Amino acid sequence: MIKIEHLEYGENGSLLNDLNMGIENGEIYCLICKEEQCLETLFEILEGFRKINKGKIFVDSNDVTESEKKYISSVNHIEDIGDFEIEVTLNNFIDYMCGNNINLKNRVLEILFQFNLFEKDLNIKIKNSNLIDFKAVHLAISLMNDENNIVINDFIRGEGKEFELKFNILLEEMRQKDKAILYLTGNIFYAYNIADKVSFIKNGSLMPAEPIISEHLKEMDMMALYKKYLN
Amino acid sequence: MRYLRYEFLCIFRDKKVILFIIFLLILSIYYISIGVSEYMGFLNKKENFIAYEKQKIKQYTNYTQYGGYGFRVLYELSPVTVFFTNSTVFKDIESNIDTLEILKIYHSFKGKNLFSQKESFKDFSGIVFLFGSLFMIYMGAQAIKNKDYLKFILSKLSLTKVFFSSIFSRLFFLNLIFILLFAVVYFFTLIKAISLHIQDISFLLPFLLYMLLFLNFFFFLGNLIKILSNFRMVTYLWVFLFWVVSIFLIPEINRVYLFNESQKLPTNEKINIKKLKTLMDFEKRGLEMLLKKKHSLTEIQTINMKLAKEYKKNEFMLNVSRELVLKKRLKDLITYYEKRSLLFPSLYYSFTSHEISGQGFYGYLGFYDYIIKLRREFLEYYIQNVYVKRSKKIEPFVKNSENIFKAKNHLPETYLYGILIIMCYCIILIGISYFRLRNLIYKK
Repeated sequence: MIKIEHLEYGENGSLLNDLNMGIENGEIYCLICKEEQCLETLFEILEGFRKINKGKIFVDSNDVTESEKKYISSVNHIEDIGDFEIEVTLNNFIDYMCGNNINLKNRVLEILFQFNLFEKDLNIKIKNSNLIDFKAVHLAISLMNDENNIVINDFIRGEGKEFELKFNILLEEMRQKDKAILYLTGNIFYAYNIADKVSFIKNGSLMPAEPIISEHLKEMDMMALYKKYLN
Repeated sequence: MRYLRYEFLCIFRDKKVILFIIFLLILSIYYISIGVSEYMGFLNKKENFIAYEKQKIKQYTNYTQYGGYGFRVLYELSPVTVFFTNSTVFKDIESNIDTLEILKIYHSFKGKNLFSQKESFKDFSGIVFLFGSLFMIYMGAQAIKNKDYLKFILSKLSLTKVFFSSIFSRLFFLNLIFILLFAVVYFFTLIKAISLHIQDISFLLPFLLYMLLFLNFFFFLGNLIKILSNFRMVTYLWVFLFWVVSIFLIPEINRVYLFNESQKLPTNEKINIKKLKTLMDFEKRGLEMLLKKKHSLTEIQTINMKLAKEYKKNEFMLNVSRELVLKKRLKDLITYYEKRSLLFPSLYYSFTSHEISGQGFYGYLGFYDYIIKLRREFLEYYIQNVYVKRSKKIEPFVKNSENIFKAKNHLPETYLYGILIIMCYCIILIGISYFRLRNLIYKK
């Protein structure tokens, strides 16, 4: 469970202002915002890379506001493979991230299996691998710790339907495992497909005050929502 | 082990790195072989020198000729010089020991010697200085790919652990590359029949240590520049600029400074004219003494002996003291230069290379002392044979190898300070890098 209370970031809350939200276990909460910077900032706050001006963050009822380690698995979108060490193989990279922990490696391989990637496919240099495979490896490593709480920053942005479907299956699996998932996106239609609850951020503030639950969202006029919160 | 294994793969799977190592290896072996062949050439020259000097004495018919023409002293290069062929203060020098007033130290450009001039960087030490530092500053800038990559890793591992483990794992392999390179060129010299003794190795090892620290300094510098420029592409421009400043500009400024300071020393002409005047005054006095009245041959011989002894005791010593004053001022300047060089690693690297090669400033001062001592002994020998024994048959002054001055490799007196200072720089650089990186990643 992730709980955010009166979170404020930026000069006088210019980026995020009085954010109050709670993500229950077994729930996918989509936070939709047109401004990438807002989502990036919230993502980094939950990763532990930014200190907030005001407010509290609770993870499984523990106050992690001041702690650098937030006990949340974070999955970020990838811009460019070139940002990584491209001379090593995917397998080397996985081994590096897992250390000598066999369980972690098995968990990574388990997730990769869902993306039709097998151990033999991983002996390819990162620079020669395709972005989809690398994204899958990136996702598997991000989720290998099997934390109860997950924050995802627009991971499937720009990807094809096949990858999106596989990712959605994984997301559904995690929901069934009772994990609390916060998905940050700018895509209202994707949120419509996967979310249990939806909120918007406009001018740094959360809207509406209470999240829209999935059943209600499906009855709403998407265009009207878009115009109201994202335009 | 995780970091060592990963950094090993990152370094050795990069074709650019492998190509650069091969390039460095080929260049090092090439210049070591040049060093070896130059050293062999010198040994050949030494043999000719000894043979010529022996023959020369046989040509003299009396001691006055021997005293006037004298004999030459050769500065014998140390075998260690093969690593530093062009990173020396001087190539090879000689001196002429005679009874005249001028002390001569020179390098001959006559004949084939014209073609054995110094060319900067073209030796093992210079190659490491030039390309090693460039490679390391680049590798330092490459040590942390970028912020996003680091943030991804930090979601699983701690910054302190990732930063220090990655940096030191990478450095471990990079240092290993240079140690192996050093070992390869060392064994290459052995194959080429250059006999390096334990004492030579005892100088090469401190050089190796400073060389590694010097390279590590550039690695940390590259790493810091990348972090200070916030991982932007402009990093590489800054890296190149810093490298140019460190390798070319600072040493050049220091060289010009040393040159300007050396201009404050009295000129050789000024000293020589003073010495000549002392000698001429003495000769005038001697002549007056001899011409005052008519002397018998025995009286003339007695007066000459007396004059010679007087000359040795007074005028010669006065001229020697002038040389010693100059030597002291030279030594002071060199000591000051050494201390100044301590401030920046590229300066001290050059200074250490000069001294360990045996053809540095302290080697020169040792030679200076030796020829002053030899001149004094030669004068004593001359007076004994001409005025006391009045020998007709010329007994050579050089009995063994007095006309060969074996170069002494020197470890600079400030070597330990040099090590401590460069280590402090490295600690400061890595400290700033770490805290700056921490502030970049963990934003307030």
